[in-house]
Amino acid sequence: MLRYVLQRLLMMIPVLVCVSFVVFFLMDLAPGDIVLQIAPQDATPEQIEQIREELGLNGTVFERYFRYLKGLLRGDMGESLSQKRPVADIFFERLPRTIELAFGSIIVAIIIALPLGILAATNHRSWIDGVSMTTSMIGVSMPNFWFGLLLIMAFSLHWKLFPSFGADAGIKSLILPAITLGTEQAGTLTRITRSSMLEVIRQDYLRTARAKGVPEKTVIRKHALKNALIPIITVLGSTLGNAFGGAVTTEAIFAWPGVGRLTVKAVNDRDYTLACGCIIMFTIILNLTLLVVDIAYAFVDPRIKAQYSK
Amino acid sequence: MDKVLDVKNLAVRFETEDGVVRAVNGLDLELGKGRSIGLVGETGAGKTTTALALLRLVPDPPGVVECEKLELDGKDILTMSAKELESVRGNDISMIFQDPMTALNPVFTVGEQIAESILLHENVTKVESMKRAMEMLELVGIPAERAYDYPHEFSGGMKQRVVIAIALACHPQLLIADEPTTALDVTIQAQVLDLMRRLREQYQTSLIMITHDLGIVAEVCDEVAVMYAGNIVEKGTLEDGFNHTKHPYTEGLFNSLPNINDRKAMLTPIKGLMPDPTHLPEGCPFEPRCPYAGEDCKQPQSVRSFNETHTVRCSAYDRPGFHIERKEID
Ligand SMILES: Nc1ncnc2c1ncn2[C@@H]1O[C@H](COP(=O)(O)OP(=O)(O)OP(=O)(O)O)[C@@H](O)[C@H]1O
Ligand SMILES: [Mg+2]
Repeated sequence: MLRYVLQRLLMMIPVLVCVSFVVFFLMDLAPGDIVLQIAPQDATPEQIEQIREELGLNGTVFERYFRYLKGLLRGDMGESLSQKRPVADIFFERLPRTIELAFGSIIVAIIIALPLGILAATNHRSWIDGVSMTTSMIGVSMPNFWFGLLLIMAFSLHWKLFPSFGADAGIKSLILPAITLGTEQAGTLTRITRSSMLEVIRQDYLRTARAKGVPEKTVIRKHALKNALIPIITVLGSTLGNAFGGAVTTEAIFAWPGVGRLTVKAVNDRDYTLACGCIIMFTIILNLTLLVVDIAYAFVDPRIKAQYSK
Repeated sequence: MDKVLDVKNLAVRFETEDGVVRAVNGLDLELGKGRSIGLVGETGAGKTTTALALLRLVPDPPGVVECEKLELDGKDILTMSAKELESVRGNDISMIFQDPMTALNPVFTVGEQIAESILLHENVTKVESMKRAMEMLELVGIPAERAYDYPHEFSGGMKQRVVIAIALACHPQLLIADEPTTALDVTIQAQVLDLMRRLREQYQTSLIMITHDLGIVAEVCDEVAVMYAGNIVEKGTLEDGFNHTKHPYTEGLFNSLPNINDRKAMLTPIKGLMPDPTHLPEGCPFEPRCPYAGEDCKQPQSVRSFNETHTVRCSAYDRPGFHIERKEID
């Protein structure tokens, strides 16, 4: 198991090199130049060249990339061009908020999706199935900005229960953004829960459990659900991983100070180092989340555990 | 005679998109305490469905069960609430399912799966139930410490032993074994049958053995019931069924067995196929394949008794002097 984890961690290095390469070149292709934005209006070409050198933006794109990569492999993501502070500092200041929102939304998603998906599967093709599937469709297709605004109008403006923006009121600030994002995530999760449970519900071992006298509720919640969990965990993992990358729309509506908006702003500002840093951190976090998911499989399914220890 | 099971007029149909499948049609079955009966019939005859109906486990939808009387040891199963049924299943009546490969839950240890049954039906702690589970494992010939292993770590034969341990954990009065050995190779088959016989003697369990192997019936059962298209066509003691065979279908089953003494003799399988259970004929369902068929077979069939124990569902016996070709053995 430990060997497997180490292997996976080592595999992340080539992934990071590739991702940084792609991001770096894409940023270079994008029109716009941060030097021109920073330099005074009447700067001479010499002055501009000087600023460029100070920022480390001189040379060909390859030279710059290798300079960047050298730093990166030593764990140094450089300094933000627009904020003149280490990229790592800026990112980690924002990360806790993003983690809060990610976990908040995933909890909302689980609370909605698991019961709905299980109900749909156990009442396959009945009206309950129809209602849950329609609900999940609505959850997916409702645009976040619209649903978020609706929530703000109802709960912040009308009833004044929760703040409409920011993250300063603790759990109270988290609730509306988490519901907005969680509702969207719940859609996919409901579908996967349903299809995975439908698959398991036909299995012979559930009949064995019933023949033992296990109550129907326990048959579903214990015997069936644990077997249906692998695909559910997979979707949960990637949803969570994505949420760690920041939910740009939701963050924008609620002025949530997470990494999603930070990244978008860095790209718009052509702040190469900050944008690259954010995306690389995102890659790392996503990979770690997927690794945790793979480890979780082993706890759910003994057959997978046996494979890992081989 | 004390009856452990008394079933009257059991009918099960599956209402599917492709039509109504009549899986069981008015079946009667009685079984004395401590007795064992072999339920024989070709694939699709409705054996598993009958067994599931006895446990009230026919999947609904699509299954619809109708029954006049269904009593287990004098207790009326038909009117029981879901909760009462749960306390009967696994406790008074247990079932061993057809395929041991898929009968065990892959994500729980075999010990947990045996202990669950004990924990549900008996007033014991979790620790005690696990101890009992380990004793059950020993009893079926698996070392107790393997209780902590998962099903994928066991061979097919061992899985079937685990399934038997689950079924017998609470010493049920009636055990239904649905082809417990078809998925196993011959040597393991003999071991499992032997094990079942021993345990049955030890606990005085009554047994319904579902199989399409007449050899197994001869080996472990006191009585035999032959099923065809959802009904029992011939029923009696082993002596009745094997030596005084009356129904043409039973005769066909015997004729399709290979004969060791005369290996040159041709196998004579029963011609044709079982009727489609969505379109059962009004008369005898075996009539289209029956070498003795006559006009009288197109009427609904009634049951006739040849002695106290031997009943046959065949109207050809109304013809004077009718008999099948198979010789009676005295
Ligand atoms: N859930 C179901 N839905 C629809 N039809 C079913 C269902 N279960 C069984 N049947 C049908 O009922 C009939 C009897 O099936 P059953 O499984 O009882 O046969 P069997 O005698 O046990 O056969 P085998 O020897 O192959 O196990 C078959 O025609 C089968 O297709
Ligand atoms: Mg069957």
